[in-house]
Amino acid sequence: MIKTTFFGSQAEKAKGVWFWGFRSPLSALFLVWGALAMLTSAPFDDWWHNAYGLDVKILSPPHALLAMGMLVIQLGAVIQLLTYQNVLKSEYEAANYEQKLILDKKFKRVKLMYVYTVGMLIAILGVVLTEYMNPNVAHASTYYKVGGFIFPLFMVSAGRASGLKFPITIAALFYTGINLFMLWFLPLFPAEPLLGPVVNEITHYVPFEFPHLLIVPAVLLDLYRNKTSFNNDWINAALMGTIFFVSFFVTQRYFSEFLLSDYAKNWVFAADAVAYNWNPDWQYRFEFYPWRAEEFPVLMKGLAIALGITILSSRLALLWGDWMRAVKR
Amino acid sequence: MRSIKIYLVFASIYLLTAAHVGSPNIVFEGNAGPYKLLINIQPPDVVPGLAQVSARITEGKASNVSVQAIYFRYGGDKAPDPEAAKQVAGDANLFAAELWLMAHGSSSVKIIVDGEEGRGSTVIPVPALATAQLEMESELGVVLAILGLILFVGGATIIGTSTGEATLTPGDAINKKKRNKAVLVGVSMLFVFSGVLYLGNLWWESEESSYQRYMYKPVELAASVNESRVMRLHLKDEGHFDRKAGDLIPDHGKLIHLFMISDKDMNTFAHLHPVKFDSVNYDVLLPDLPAGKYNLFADVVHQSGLNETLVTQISLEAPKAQTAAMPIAFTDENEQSQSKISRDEDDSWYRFTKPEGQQQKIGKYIMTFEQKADKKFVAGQVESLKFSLTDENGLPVVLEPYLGMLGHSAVVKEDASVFIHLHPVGTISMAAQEMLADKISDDITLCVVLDSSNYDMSNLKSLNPNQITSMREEIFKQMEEKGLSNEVSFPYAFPKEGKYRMWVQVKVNGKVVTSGFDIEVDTAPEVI
Repeated sequence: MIKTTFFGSQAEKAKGVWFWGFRSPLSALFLVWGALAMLTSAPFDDWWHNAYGLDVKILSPPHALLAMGMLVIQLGAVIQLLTYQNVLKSEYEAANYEQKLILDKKFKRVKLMYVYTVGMLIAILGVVLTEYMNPNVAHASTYYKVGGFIFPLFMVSAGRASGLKFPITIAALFYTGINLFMLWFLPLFPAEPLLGPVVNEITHYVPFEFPHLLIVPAVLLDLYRNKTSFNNDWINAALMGTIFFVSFFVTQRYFSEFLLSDYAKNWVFAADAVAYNWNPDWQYRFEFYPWRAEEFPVLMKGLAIALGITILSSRLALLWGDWMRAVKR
Repeated sequence: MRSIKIYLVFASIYLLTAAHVGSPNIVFEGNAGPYKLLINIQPPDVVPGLAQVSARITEGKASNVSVQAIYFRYGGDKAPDPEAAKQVAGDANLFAAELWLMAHGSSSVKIIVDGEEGRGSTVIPVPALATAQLEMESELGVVLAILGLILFVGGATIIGTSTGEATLTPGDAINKKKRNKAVLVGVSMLFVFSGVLYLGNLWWESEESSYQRYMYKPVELAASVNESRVMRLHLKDEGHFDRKAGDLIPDHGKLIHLFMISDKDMNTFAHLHPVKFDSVNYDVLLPDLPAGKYNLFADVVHQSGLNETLVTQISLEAPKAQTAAMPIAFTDENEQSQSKISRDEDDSWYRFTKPEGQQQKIGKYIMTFEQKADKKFVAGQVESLKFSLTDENGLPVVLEPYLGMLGHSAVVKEDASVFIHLHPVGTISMAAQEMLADKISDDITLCVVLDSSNYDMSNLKSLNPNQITSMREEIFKQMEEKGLSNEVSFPYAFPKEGKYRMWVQVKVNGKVVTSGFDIEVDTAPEVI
């Protein structure tokens, strides 16, 4: 950003956008914003610890700011790739056959890198949202409201912005792969808790939760994209939202039952992993939390709202996808 | 049942800053196996928070000191592994550590010493209580506000420009329509961000209120006095971690150690032991204290080893038949017949007289503050406050165990903002230490309670202090042989600068002898 503003050539400056008198590539602005948000969160978090004690949880206001900074930096990376992809696309369209062959390889790599960053983003979000989206609460509507808002936003938009045939599926595969890698490899390393009370004796890293089966809605969304598409994005959003919601609800509702069962208590699913500060004999450890249970009418209402949220999120995602397809600086 | 006519009700609730009034630091002097230690712990004021531990080895050669956080509720089995304390550079006998206390309530720090004489451990009760009410400093607030504003407006600008210039092929100039759209999007993002901030603020408020819910609230104390000068203490406990109403355990054999100190002048002092009426009410027969306002400090220990000092005030009317000049010890012959509550034999009270230099005469005894007259006390620095008792001829007078120790002391700051009940072992409660040690399976060295088995005074009659002064050496020799003492010392670090009064209580010939000294404490020098 500084380089482009003060030392950039005319051509470099032309590739940038205006920001308070600076000239900068858009992705750099995202990176700067994200870094600043993370920097701001540091003294805020420090104060928070002094005022309210160390927060041993993922979500607190200063942590949310930190997470936002991390996400925006990740978004900056996404935009950098998008810009590259979109500029390449313009070049590609203008290129002759031979140039196209050379560009093809480059293009494909960039497209893959883009969906990788989307998968990475979803993985980060999965960690941030774990308090609302773990197997023990998978029968409550909040799970589907949160999931229905967040996941389509990134998945549907990636479908619109990427030039690949199965971008959502590939992103979901990256997401699943990153999670499984951590799930299966981290517990191989020894570790011991340094803070107490140590309610559960552990000797190795405790794996995180098994990833959501996002691969199911991802495949269905890609199939929809490839088979049919309407000109009206509201109709597209309604259909894609419904596809996501139904497939996500059905898989997670029943998969969570599996995760709480004895069949999942092994290294593959790691459903019996529990951190040092959790009572391993806790009576609700392998149960749907009864205090989160909803009466049938309440659940139905909650799910209807979740469906609405999912459709709106998909509409937003399509808008965002259109923009991502257009971003060139 | 006789109705208690309350003719004086005056109670005010102090805002406490810690379980110990204004004096959160924990000082301990004692043994861990073969080693003798002086420990100073600054407990955290939020939970989870860091406790600062410093351990000085005063006897024995230690190579390693480690510290471990142990919670009453979870015990030693569920404690994390001990952490090594770092030896402070330039001082082979001083070790320091920072230790996380993660769970609210009664907790402790176990000190493990390794060295030439093997391993020794002891445990020091350190309550993990959220007492801090932190406001953001204005500098930090301004910095965060500026950063926040940059993020706020900057974020809106970025999103605005994202929809405008960023969608143009490099080199193309932006047209008016696109620019207007960008501005419109940017401005509407300001509203969206405001909404996010509003939600964030709601979130913050809910976090704040849940912190308030977990904040330490001391047991409330209310005092009232009836016609027969029986004072009733009512303990109102809304419950907190590791504490519930009526779960007091005796410390030095008493459920409550009540200190009454006259407000402002601090000249009248009483150390009383109310007896249990029911689980939340305790009664005590008041001595003939002069009329006036008193600060009440009640030291209690809960079942969990949580130690608290409860505070209130009371205004006393003049006793019915007040003697014109107040004697050093008040008589109580008249009251005894009126009240069904008998006086605890360890109750004592005292009227302050100004010491002459470092010495104060109490009847036929002289209490000496073993400190140079020009000694400067500094806030935060651990000092051993030593006192010795002699008779008028200067011969040492052997101290008897008083409530299991050689002496008790109370320290009060002029404005009553600091109060601490001290023992030769420091600021900790021995009952609390015992409760926490029960939760640890290892061999823990506990404070020694003095009785005839370890402090034998039976042969002392041969010492006749009325004989000539040359007996002095002989008395000291005998005292040393029998392990007896005429000295008592209290380790303590004054928490802040100001004027303090310190009362020292010892027992001689079955009677409690109280003396008072004034101590001035300076601010700690700025460490640069």
